[in-house]
Amino acid sequence: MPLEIQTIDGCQTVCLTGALTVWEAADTWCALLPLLNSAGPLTVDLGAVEQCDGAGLQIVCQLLKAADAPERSIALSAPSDPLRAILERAGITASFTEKV
Amino acid sequence: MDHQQAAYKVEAYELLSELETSLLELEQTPDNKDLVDRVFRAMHTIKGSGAMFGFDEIAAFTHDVETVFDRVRDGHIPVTTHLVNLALSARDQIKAMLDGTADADRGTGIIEGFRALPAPAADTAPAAAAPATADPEDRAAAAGDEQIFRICFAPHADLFASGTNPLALLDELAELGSCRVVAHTDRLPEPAAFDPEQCYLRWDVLLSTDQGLDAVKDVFIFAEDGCDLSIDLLAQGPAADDALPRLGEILVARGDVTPAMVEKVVQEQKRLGQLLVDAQAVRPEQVCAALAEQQFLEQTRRKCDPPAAAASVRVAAEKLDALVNLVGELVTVQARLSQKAVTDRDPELLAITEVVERLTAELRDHVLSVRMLPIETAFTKLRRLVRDLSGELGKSIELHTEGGETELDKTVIEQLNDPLVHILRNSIDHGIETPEQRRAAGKPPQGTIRIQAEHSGANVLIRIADDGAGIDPERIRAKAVAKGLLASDAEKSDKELLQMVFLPGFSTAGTVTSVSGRGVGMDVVKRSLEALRGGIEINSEKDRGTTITLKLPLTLAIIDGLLVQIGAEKFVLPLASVEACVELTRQDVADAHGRNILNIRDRLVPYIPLRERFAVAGAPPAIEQVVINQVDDHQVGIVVDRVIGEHQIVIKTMNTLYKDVQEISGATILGDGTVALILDVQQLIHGLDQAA
Repeated sequence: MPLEIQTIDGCQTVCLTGALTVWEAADTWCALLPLLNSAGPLTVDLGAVEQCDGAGLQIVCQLLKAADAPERSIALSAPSDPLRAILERAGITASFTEKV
Repeated sequence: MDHQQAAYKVEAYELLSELETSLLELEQTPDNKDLVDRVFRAMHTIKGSGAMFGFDEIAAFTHDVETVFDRVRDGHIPVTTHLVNLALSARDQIKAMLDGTADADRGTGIIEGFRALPAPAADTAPAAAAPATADPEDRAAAAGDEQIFRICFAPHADLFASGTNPLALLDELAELGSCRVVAHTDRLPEPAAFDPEQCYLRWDVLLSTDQGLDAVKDVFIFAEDGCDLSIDLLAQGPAADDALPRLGEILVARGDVTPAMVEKVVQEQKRLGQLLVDAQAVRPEQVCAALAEQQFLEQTRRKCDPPAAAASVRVAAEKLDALVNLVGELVTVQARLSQKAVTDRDPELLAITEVVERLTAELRDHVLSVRMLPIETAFTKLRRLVRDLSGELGKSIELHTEGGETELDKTVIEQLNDPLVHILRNSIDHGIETPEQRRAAGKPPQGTIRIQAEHSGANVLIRIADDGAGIDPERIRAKAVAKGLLASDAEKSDKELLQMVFLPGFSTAGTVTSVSGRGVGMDVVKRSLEALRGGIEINSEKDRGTTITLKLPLTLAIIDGLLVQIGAEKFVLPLASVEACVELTRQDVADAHGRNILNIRDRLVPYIPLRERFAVAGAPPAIEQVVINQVDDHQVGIVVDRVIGEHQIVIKTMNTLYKDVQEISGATILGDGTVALILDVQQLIHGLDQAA
């Protein structure tokens, strides 16, 4: 899964696109981890995720945990419809910022 | 094809073999619910794994068959011969799909056959049609009532590696009824330690369904080894309210509170028993008795839980073969070591050598036992053959098998299949008569074929006996003369004439059918068995039937042997047929007046002087040794100069130059690097018979 990273006014936005499955999970996480560890504000855009399995879901869960951590400023923008349906079926309740 | 697809194929072939056995058994016992379940589960696994590994066509085809068997399981469709026929055809079609030789039209025809089966009338489905079951789980499943299950599904960390997507399982559960899914993320590690290819999530699912426990279990049928799973029936039917879980249980199950916390709070209030005792409603001993009863029930329930699946590992046959070869080399080296210890007369080395010898023998036995399979695996295929061929030829034939538990080396069983099929085809086609012919001959209309397997020394004997028309020696003679295989005035006994069926190109069948009678069968059978160091015998009685006996070695790799010496030559006799060793003096020879007969415990035992037989130069010692062998219910002695002792023998095949030397079945390399020939005692005796 290619990550698109934009930095505007010191705020990084990373966009996950396409499939987020066990085949892409390791590479995606490798790319995401440094961003999660960086100090600045970060927005993860989940609006273009088309496919997600159990492994991908765990990455979303890690992102949700990171977003909940008070010491970091991480926001998750609204997930795509397929991802939202998967989260619901998998029993993951989460709140997302609406995409602007 | 990646290794997962290859693994699927291996598993699917095994499941198909199991499926065939179950279907044939089901035809005999149509009320056997376990067999219906087994068929359903096999289909379900073939379908589910097929879809997972990209065999979509197999998954789609199997889906329809599985659906029908689900209805059979519910008691909506009865088990009939027609259903079994369809299911066997479906099994063959799946096999053809795996082989890549499937005919799509045939598949469509089979599916249409399944769809034409009577559909259950939803409103009139007779409850009585469902088999009566006493088991509470079955009762719950068959009732069709709404049930609430709590499913705790905690995948193992390596679940993804098996290709299982837990979300697909949750979706399958959702298809069964209304679901409440709660995900637990407590096992997720810190980001730095997170490996996205390991599974950390776990789920609790509350499922309300009328599909029964079996349907819920089936969802996890090929994931159950990769997860911790518990499925509990929380409530059932109209009385569901009574069985609602307690608040504490729900909170614990959802992970909101720990059991310890609930326990602590509960401890602070008085227990029910104590409250009742305080209220003088019951006596303390009555509470104790009730608690004991509760404990007993709990223990009993635990005992009744099915045991964990037998731990087993799938190993490629090539790896086993490589292991056997290595053990073979080890045995040879061990023999050298033993020899060195004896030569050096070093007591310490001798003690070590004895231990090495014992361990090597144990290792050899264990490795060989891993390759041993019950011969039943070969018999199973024959049941289908008899069923199908007898139907095709309008004959009624019953197949009895005995000794299916007899074990044989994997390689032997694999190579035994074709000879057995040839022999059975001949029995069905030419041996057993039609019901009309049998009635006319005063026989029961149903023919019988018996296959018996039993151990006989280092061999396994397999007898295939039919009660058919038998073989007419005069027809064999006529046929042999017509084919130019026998002179018209040649004198041959009935036994000799029977042996002619093993000649290449010989066939006594009046007409060549698609089943047999091409005149290649028995010739091929004989050669196949000889290639296995085995043999074949035929006995037949006109109008009474034919018995064919196959003799096969237990293993093709390593045997225990008795090392003997004649002059400077060393030979090995298979130890399994050796009964005793006795001395033979010049006086004994003189007493027998030139006949090669020895009196052992008042029994006359013939013997073969091997030095003479193999024309070994030199004079025999004054006292020779006779090794007494038990062969086919007879005792026969083999005279040698010296008996050296027992040895583990790694059998090496001989060069093709020696293929015509009947008395030698192979060779082995001894500890000192010299070669010893392995004697085929039976052939030695046979050769003597012919010479006489």
